[in-house]
Amino acid sequence: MLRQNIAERPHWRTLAQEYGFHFHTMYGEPYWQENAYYQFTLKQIEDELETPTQELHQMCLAVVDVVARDAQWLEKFCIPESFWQPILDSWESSEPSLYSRMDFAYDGTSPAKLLENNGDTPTSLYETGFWQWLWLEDNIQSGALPRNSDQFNSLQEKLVHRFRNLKTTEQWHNIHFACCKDTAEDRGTVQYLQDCAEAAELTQHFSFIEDIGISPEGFFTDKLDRVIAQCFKLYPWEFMFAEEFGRFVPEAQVNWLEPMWKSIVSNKALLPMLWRLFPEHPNLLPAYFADEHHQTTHGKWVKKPIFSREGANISIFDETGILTESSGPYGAEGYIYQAYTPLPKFADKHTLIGSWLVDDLPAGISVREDSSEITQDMSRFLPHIILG
Amino acid sequence: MNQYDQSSPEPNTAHRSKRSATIHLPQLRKWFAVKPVAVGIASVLLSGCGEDPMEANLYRSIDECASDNPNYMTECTFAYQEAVEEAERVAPRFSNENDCEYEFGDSNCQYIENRNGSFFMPFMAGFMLSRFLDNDIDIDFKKKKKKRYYSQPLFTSYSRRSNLRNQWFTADGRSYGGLHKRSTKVYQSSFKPKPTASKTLSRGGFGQSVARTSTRSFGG
Repeated sequence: MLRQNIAERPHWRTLAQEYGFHFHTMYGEPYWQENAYYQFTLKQIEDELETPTQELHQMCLAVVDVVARDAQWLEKFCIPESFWQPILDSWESSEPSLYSRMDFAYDGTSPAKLLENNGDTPTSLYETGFWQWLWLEDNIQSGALPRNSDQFNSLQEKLVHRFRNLKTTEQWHNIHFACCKDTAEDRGTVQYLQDCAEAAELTQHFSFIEDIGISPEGFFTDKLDRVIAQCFKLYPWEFMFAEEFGRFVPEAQVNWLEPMWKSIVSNKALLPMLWRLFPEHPNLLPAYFADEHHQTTHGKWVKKPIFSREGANISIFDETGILTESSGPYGAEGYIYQAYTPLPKFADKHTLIGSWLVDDLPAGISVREDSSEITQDMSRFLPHIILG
Repeated sequence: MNQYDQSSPEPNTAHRSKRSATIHLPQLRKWFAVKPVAVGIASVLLSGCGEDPMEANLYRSIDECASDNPNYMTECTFAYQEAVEEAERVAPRFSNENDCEYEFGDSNCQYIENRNGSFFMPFMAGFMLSRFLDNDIDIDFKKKKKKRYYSQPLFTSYSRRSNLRNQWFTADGRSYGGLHKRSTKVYQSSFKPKPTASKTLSRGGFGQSVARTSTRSFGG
């Protein structure tokens, strides 16, 4: 695992314009960076990332199977009681899922450690599935990278295949895609998924989350009053549980992507639960629930809110007190503790690996760098290659 | 043909590469910004209590109307035009042609782009015309009854999947019989403005956590 410098493609900003990649720069800061890339060996990719991703995913499903059936655990996961039965129903009827992203601390030598699982609303999908793919193709064409360079990235291919599968196997005739207003990044992510659905010849519609309505029959409708039967929502389940229309969810007969059982996977309480069911697994870090605080008296620990996103409200502490802290709106629901593991540093930046799954198949990785130890939404995205 | 594109629809298990074999680039080009979906205009529903039904004619064209009413070419033209305008407002809307044709039949949909947005809708199949006595205010500010023409757009479906196949129906989904029918009895209320395209009781019940968090993305 190496960080290599490379010249930017002179025309990449024009290309970004052409393909509608509008969030490569956010708040005046570069988000997409191509003056460097990460290089992995095939063995690192397959043995150290792909295989663990597949195994960890199966472990997460084992957690869902325990939690979804047990009121005591559902309570620990801070899931409102009115959704316990719907979650179990969604799990027992094997409602199909689309994708997930696991975040790993991985330095190229020691086993990758699972930091968290974004099983509900993962973003940076477009940059991973398409944009870094195009970067590699361009650089191979121009001779800047050797012809035998490859990338762990079958994300787009698998997404299209998954949508085709939903159409043929699950008999989905159409699907609504929804995200919030006023976020170019989320709209871009959803548009990319719409393009993938389109490629699978699945009819797709778009609606903003805020525009979703409720009909007299208790169905959700879009702005044109069409009934929503299948819906991809780039919007967290825990928000939907808590909001006004949440009470209509159990009766609205929507096939959601992600399905409701994914709210257990995306929950930070997954981490102590994994450690409880699979203690000492090489790809796991010790993790505990808040009432197991006595386990954290020695060493360095990370305190994470149960519903945190984008690195918000995370603190790192040891015997001497709090060492680093990030701000944000989360945490009211409670916390979990996870053993601290340093993110590897390349060129003075902290590096985080995102490992993607489509349904239950590993589908590629993304690499992000941050100047702080807590990776937040201002981190930078860098492409990667496989060579050797 | 594109330099990257060597169409292979299914994931190719034969190639040993760890990345997508092909990506169909034209599908991902976005020269134009993503437009929000069209916004409908809400309208008030009025009741039709206590009125008598009247004869209404169902015409496919201005010519049909004019041959039925030889001295009313102007009125027929006006009624038709009014119906066309109304059709654009009230017709069922679709974001793509396939969905529209699924409901209304092959080649029975048109693309509309107006100040409210862009969408596909079925072609107007005809219009309904009727005369009712109406309250009107005269030039000398005295109320009096006056005969008035009312028109509204009619649609039909040629799709085998539709239960409205070869039926006249108005934008609110009310059916007026088979396409061969030339007249029907209607209440004046059936000419009241139609709401735009299922019904929705309320909106905005999702998305409330947004203000609370104010982060850039809701993903992670």
